[in-house]
Amino acid sequence: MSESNKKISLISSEGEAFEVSEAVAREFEIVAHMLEDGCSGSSIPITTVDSNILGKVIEYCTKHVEVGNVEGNSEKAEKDLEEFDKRFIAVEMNTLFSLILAANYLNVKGLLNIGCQKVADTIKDMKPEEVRSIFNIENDYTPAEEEVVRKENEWAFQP
Amino acid sequence: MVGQKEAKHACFKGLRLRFKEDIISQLPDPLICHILYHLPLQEAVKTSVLSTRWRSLWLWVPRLELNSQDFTDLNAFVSFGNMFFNSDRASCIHKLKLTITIGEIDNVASYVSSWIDAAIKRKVQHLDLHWCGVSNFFTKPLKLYNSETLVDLKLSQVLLDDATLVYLPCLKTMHLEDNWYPNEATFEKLVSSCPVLEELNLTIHQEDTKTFRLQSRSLKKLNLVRAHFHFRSSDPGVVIDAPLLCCLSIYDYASESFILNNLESNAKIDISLLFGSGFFDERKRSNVHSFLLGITRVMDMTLCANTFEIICRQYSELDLLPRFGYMSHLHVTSRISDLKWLPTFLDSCPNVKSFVLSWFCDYEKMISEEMSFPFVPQCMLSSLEYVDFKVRILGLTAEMKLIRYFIENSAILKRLTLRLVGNSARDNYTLKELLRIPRGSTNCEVVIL
Repeated sequence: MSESNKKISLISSEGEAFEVSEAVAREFEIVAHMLEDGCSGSSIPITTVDSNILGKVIEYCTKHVEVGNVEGNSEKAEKDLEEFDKRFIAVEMNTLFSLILAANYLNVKGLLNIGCQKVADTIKDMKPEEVRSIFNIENDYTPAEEEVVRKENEWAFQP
Repeated sequence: MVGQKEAKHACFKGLRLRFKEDIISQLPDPLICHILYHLPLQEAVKTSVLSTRWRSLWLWVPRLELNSQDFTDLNAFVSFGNMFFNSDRASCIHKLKLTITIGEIDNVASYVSSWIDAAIKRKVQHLDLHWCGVSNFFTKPLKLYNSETLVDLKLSQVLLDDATLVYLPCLKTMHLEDNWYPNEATFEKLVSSCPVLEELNLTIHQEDTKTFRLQSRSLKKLNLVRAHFHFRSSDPGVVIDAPLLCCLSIYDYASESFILNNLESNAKIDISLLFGSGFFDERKRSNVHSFLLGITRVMDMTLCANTFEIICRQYSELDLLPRFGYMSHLHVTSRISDLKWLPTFLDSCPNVKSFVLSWFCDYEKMISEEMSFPFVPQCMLSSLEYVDFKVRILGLTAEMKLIRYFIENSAILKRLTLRLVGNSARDNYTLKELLRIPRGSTNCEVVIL
């Protein structure tokens, strides 16, 4: 069997198996390393990621592998992929953070980047009060302490 | 339709009702830093006020882009830089970009040197230093340091220090723009301290009349810009010895001599050279001669109108052009009055396969020009397959003579590409004239764009 046709099962935290091609599984750098280290088993447990998120990460990697395999017309392919990424990452906040954690654990760099970019885009141009409110961050500074922090980098707080 | 921002808020509001938890602060430090990495510096610093957890997380972001203009005064800028680089959190920094636009730079220079030193200790890979205080930028030199990690270096309007020898074993690309080198050896030493350098963009300061010597066993791509300057006391020059160089672009209206040694036979070269501003005397003839000998092995050549004039009208009057036997692609921009030299130049390119020609559209000149081509060069009989006129053709007699010359005499021409002016009466006339030209090659296709 040629390498590209080989199937690998990724097992979610609930024990659900997701069958993917080796090329897709290799998009997870952690899996790629396991395969290189001679882990020849055809099923790999991903114990920290649940089925919902694992399914999504696989969807992301499958799309990126597919586009990477198409020869020629790279400009259009790149644009398509950008569109896909944009749609893919337009999810609820809790899903977004789960995706970031999974991408970080599985070492899927592209997904980690678009996830962090999405959070950064949310923070950008917001006042600290608004950021706290959106992310439920509790302000544990005393007013005096907060004033000190603001003073430290006064230039950054100027409009 | 709901605006994007309102929609964003509505979505988060819903989320907040369901999840009272602060998910973002629970992320591990490196992940928060990765998020902050995607924010402009000012926005990242602002997160320090969110909660005690966030106070110094931004200091761990592996990138710093600092512009002195974002600060109210010099002190604020310096104290921020000192705070960032002196903080005891010696985390790695991937990229450092400093843009300094402050006039009084005497004391800033020593701070900046210490910041760069700190960044190098933190394994910086991309360093970009842009100094905009042009008027007095050579008051205090910048000290460079050895770095085992630097892969990309940009220095702009910086006075380089000559006292120290640096070693940059991983540096792949370097941009040097309008810097000041205290003596001729400084630049040479800097390049030779980069054993794997592949790409160099060099803009030489207008008032710098030194000879620039570049020796590299690894350089593949060079882009050199040196603008014309009126008042000079010495004879500026360039000497390049880079055997792997395969892509070279020269825009140099100041250097009198330009020597290329050991150029690769598959090199691509784009030339705008004047060989100094003086008359075409014996000295200039010899400079052109030495330059031409260095580029005889190139595969792809682009010549600007000034250089074409010097080589064909002035040099070839006195001397025989060398043979460019490896050249398969040639692009010439010419003045109308110099078009008559085309056969002479093409005759020295016996294997050219594809030829692109453009000229400055001066219709009055074109009407008055006597176009005559006394002979047919070898390449038109045996190698020329593609000709492209990158100008709008009006159908003037001189233009048609030039087109006829190529269609009639090129024995194996496959395609000739033309652009018309878009005036239907004119274009109809041009097309009719084109059809009347007998074709030297039976396979020749004429493409009108």
